[in-house]
Amino acid sequence: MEQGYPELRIEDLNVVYDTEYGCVRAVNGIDFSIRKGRTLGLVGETGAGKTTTALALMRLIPDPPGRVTSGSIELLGTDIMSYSEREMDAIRGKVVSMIFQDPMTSLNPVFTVGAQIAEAIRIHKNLDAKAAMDEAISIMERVGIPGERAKEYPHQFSGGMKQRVVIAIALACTPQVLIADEPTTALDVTIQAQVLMMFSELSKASNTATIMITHDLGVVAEVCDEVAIMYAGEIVEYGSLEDIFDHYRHPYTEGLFASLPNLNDRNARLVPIKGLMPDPTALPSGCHFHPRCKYATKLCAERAPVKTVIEQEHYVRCLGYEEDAGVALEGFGNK
Amino acid sequence: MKMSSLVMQAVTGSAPAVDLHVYKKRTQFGEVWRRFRRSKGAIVGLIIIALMLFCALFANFLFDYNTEVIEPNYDEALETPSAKHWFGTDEFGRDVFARVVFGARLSLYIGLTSTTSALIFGVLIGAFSGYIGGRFDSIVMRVVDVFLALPSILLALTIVAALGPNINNLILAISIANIPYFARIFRAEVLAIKDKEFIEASRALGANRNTIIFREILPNCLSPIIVQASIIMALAVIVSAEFSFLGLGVQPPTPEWGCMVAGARKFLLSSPYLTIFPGVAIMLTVLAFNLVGDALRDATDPRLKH
Amino acid sequence: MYRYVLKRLVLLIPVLLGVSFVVYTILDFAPGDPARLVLGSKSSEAAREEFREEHGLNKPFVVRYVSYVGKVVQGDFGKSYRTGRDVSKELLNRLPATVVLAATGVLFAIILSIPLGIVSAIKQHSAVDNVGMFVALFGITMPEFWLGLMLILLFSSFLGILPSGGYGSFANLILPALTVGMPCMANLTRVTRSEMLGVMREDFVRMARAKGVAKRVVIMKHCLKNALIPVITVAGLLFGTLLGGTVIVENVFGWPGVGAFLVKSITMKDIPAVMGGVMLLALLFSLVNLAVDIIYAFIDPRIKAEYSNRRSA
Repeated sequence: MEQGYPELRIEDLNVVYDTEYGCVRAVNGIDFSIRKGRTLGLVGETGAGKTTTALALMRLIPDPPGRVTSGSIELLGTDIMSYSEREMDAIRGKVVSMIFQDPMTSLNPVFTVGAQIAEAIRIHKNLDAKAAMDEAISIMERVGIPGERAKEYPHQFSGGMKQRVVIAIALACTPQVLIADEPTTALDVTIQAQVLMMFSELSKASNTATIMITHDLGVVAEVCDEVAIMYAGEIVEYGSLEDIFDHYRHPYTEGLFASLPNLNDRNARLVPIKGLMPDPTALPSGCHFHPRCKYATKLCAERAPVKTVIEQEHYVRCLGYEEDAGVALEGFGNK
Repeated sequence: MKMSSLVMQAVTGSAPAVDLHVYKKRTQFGEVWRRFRRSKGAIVGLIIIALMLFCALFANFLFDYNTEVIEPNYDEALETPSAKHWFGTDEFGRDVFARVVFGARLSLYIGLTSTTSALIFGVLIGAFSGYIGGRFDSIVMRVVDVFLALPSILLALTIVAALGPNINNLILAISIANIPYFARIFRAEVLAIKDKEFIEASRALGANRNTIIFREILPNCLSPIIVQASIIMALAVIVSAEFSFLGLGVQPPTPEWGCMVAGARKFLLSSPYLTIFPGVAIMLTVLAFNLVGDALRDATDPRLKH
Repeated sequence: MYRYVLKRLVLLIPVLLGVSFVVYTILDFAPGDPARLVLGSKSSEAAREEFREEHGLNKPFVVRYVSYVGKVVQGDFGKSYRTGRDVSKELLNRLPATVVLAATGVLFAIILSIPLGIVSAIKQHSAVDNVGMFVALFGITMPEFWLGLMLILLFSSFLGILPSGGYGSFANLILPALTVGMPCMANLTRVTRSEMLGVMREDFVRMARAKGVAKRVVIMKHCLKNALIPVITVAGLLFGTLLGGTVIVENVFGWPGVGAFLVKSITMKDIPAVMGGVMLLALLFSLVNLAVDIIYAFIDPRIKAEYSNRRSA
């Protein structure tokens, strides 16, 4: 495996939202890095902090109520946390792009799709309107939309077509880093695969480092090289696709897989993870997952787990792997 | 409410569903009240309304209507505000403060009666039109559109022109002019809610049209109606003052605020307080209902929850 | 596009017919005998009968209504009971004054309210926002006649820089226009602010920012164009309120427009004149709303596309 230059490295990222119900700790000390041409899957339930992480990378956390309290975000070797808004405008859409979850609402209803793609090109490539539009049309054709539809408005497009437009906007200036926030969740199942394939091909072709945010392990298996499992604003398990799919270590990861249907054993019952995501204004003490963990002991409610390296890049955040904790995950891995 | 709980029970066949339904209702109201209370404007509005209501209800105990409010007393004409006459006296020597206090009674009376009757008729029209639907609905709505094509002041002016200027015709004019607004809002609410499952359920249980409209739909669409009512109330107070000012509403010597300003106009430069005080009274009343209306709208708007 | 305009124009006809019917019916309830009113109580019964015959007052309601509409279409609003002159002439003489007043009022409202609303939205909860919203709230709560009198008190009597009434020069226009535009200005400021706040939360705004569009450009281009659609609709509706306001403001400032004429006609029970005045103002309101619908279609691609597609199909 070629060890490329890390396009993006974030360390100890913390984001909070000040709400009227209290302080929501949405992201708590996340770190990861991605190399050229690789795809990192950020997996977790709704509310795990995936989208907040993505917005923090774009420096687009709505402030107020959101604040990045600490952490560094290194893009191509420079920390962008200290960048001015103007400097950020210069790299957003050019060096780092984002695809949003809902294509229905991501496009401005009063501008033609062509104009919306061309806008990004004009800003970053200093082209005149005509040249930018020509380039926008060629990008549209690359994502599978007939060029003559550039003059149409978003409401004339189907959901899948709209998401293609959104992808075209994100890829318009061939960014080095691409963040895709559940790019297929809002689409019909049949369209999902199509869009995913196209997306994956395009980003591979331009050697982009990609963060794929999803709650769908099927999508992860399809496109990701590395996987980070998020729970309550933390990465609870991180590893290569193989590490996570074949040798997962965290009880939460196990829970995620157990709640998927098994094609090999059709008689197997689905085992849902009991309980709900914790209230983000009052996270449980110790390990945030302990109230829902079937292996939890008394210690899990008291002591917060730290990163434990399993091998190479594969790490887990669970007391069951901390030698001095004496927490045994009895029966782990037996379905 | 009782009906919907029973329906829920019948449909789901389980008690917890009923509990959940009741529980949700209560917290929804609590949530609205909590958000309403948090708005400073709402509190100011409520205090002003309370003050005006106090004036309206106890005016008789504060001043004697005949001797202080109506009868001229030329010895004390056009006095500037003083300890004896807080707001001064008008050209007939009547105490302006006493007249403003009695004016509160009139304005609230006109506002409340016209708003209430507009609300009742508007809601009835909107409810049946929306619920029955089809051709009936489209005919009713075309008629409503025609009324809306006429600015409401013009409609009220026309009614007053036909019936003559007095307080009852003024109330009639204001209420008719506002019926279409209530009808349209309530119809939209009915359309949004009439195919919801709990309505289907009570229909399936054999509830008739009127039961469904008044026991099921109406309680669920109250908030936009209340918001609209507070706005129309504010508007009614303004319109009644404006009409009386033009001589097309309440007639002198009745102490209506707009009427008082009309009388004070001649003395605008020499005795401006005669114009200022009744005007401030109108403004405060209108402000209060607007503040309450705004706060209610914000408190009941699900989009602004965040 | 012009198909859309045509469709709107055609739709205007039944609405105006409906309005005329409503107004005619209401005014038919007016008690009292016009003949006695016009000719005086000392007139002979024969003369009154002749008057009724001449004005078609003896015919059934529907016949009278139809013949009235027929005449109105030809520009004949009947004769004023009070002056005996053609109502249409009286109205046409006064129409320019009202149009100038209303247009200046609207202009003032739009020029002030939209920038104020935008700034308030961008700087939500700031001092500018608070002051702006406070002013807007007072603009809504002040009755126009009182606001007018207060402006006279301040600018004519106290500062002595503007005339308190009269007609003819621009100085005469300032205070009435300010008064008549104020409620509209206040409402539009609030609507612009809340629409901008709503649009600024939309996903496409975040998307535009993610493309690298500067915040200022996002607000002035992406947000504003979306927010303007409802703002324009509301502006059209507020024009009705503003026209109603001219009736009051013209009386405060002695402005020689349709509104002042209308009030005088109501007090004199001059039914044909009232009828004509109300119809004229209603027509003006409908035409403005037609214009709003057309502007709307130019901004909102959903309407534009609907009509251009249908033509090509």
